Amino acid sequence: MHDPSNSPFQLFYFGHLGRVAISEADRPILRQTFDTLVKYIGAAQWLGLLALDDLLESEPDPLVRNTLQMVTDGCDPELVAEVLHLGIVVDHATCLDLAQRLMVWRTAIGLLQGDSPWVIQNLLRTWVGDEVDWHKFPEMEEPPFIENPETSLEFLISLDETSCRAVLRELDEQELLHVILLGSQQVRSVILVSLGAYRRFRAFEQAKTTSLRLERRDIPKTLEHISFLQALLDRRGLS
Amino acid sequence: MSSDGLSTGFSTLVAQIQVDDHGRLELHYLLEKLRDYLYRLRSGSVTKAEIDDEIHPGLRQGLRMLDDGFPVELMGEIHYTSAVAAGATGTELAEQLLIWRSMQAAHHGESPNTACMILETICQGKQRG
Repeated sequence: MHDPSNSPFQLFYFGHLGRVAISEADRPILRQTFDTLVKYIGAAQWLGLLALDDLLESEPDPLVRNTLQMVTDGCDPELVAEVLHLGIVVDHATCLDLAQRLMVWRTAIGLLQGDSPWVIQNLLRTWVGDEVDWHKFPEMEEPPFIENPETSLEFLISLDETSCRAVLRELDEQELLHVILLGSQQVRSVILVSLGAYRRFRAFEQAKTTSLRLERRDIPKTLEHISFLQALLDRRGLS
Repeated sequence: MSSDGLSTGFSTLVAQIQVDDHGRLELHYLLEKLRDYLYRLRSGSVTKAEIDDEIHPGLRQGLRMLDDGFPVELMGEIHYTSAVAAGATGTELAEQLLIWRSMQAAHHGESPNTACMILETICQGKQRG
C-alpha cells in the first residue's frame, strides 16, 4: 500500500480544496462526474483494474479517461497528484472545474491507495450535495476462515475488553484482516466485539474485495507483531 | 493519509480561512467544549449516550467517527470536504479544523494540555486575521 508520508499530495489536495466554492447551479454537472466515477469505482472493485482499462477506452471525458488510465498503468500516486496539480495551475481552473478535478483526483488516489470503495463513493457524494450517513455501514458477509496451525492468536481470548482494544488499536488494516481470517471462531468473536463499527466493516469489505490479492507473505510479520504485543502486555501483567 | 500529511494539509487550511468577529466568539465557545472532551476522552469517561446527545453536529459526527474507529486522517478529510462541498462559511470551516485536530489528538493519545494549546493558537490566529 502506498505510504503518503511527507508527500506533496496533501498539500496540493488541501491547498486546492480550500479554494473551492460550489454553487447550486454546479451540482447537476458534478452529479454527472459523480455518476461516471462511481461506475469506474464499481468496475475496479468487482472486476479489477484490467476491466477498468477496457471500459476507459470508450470514456468521452479526457480528464476522467487520462487520470484513471494512470491508475490502470499503476502510476505512483505522487505522479497522479503532480499531473493534476499542474493541470489546475496551467489552465487557471474555475471553481466548478476545480471541484471536478478534485473528484477525479480523489478517485484515482483512492484506487491506487486501496481506500475503501464505500468511503471514496461517499466522499464523492458530498460533492453533489447528498446527505451521507457515515455511521450506517453496508451489511457485509463475514469472511471465511483460513486454516491456521498457529495458536499465537488464542491469547486474545484471555484479555479483558480494554486490553483487547489496546492490542487491536496497534494493528493496521492488513494486520487486522489477517487476524480476523486466521483466528479461531472464538478469537474472531472477541475481536469483532472489541472493534469499532468502521474497522469491522472495513475488514469485511477488504476480505471480500482483496481476498485473491491477500498478501500472504506478510502473515508471518503480522503474527510476529502480535507476539510482540503479547510480550508487552505480559510485562505489564495484563495478559 | 498519514499524520505528517495531515499536518501539512492542516496548516495550509488554517492559513486560508477567514473568520469574522461573531465567528471568533463561536470558535471560543467550541474550544471550551473541546477542552472538556479532550480531558474526558483521555480518561475514557465519554459515553455513547453523551455523544448521541451532543448538539453540535460536526462535533457529534467527529466523536462518533472516533468511536467507530475511522482513521483520523480520513475523518479530517471527510469533515472538511463535506463542509467545503456544502458551501460552509469561514467560521464553520474553522470549527471543522478545531474538531478535526481535537479528534486527531484524542486518537493519538496526545496530551490534552498540548492539544488545547494548539487549538488556542488557531483561535488566536483567527483573532488577528
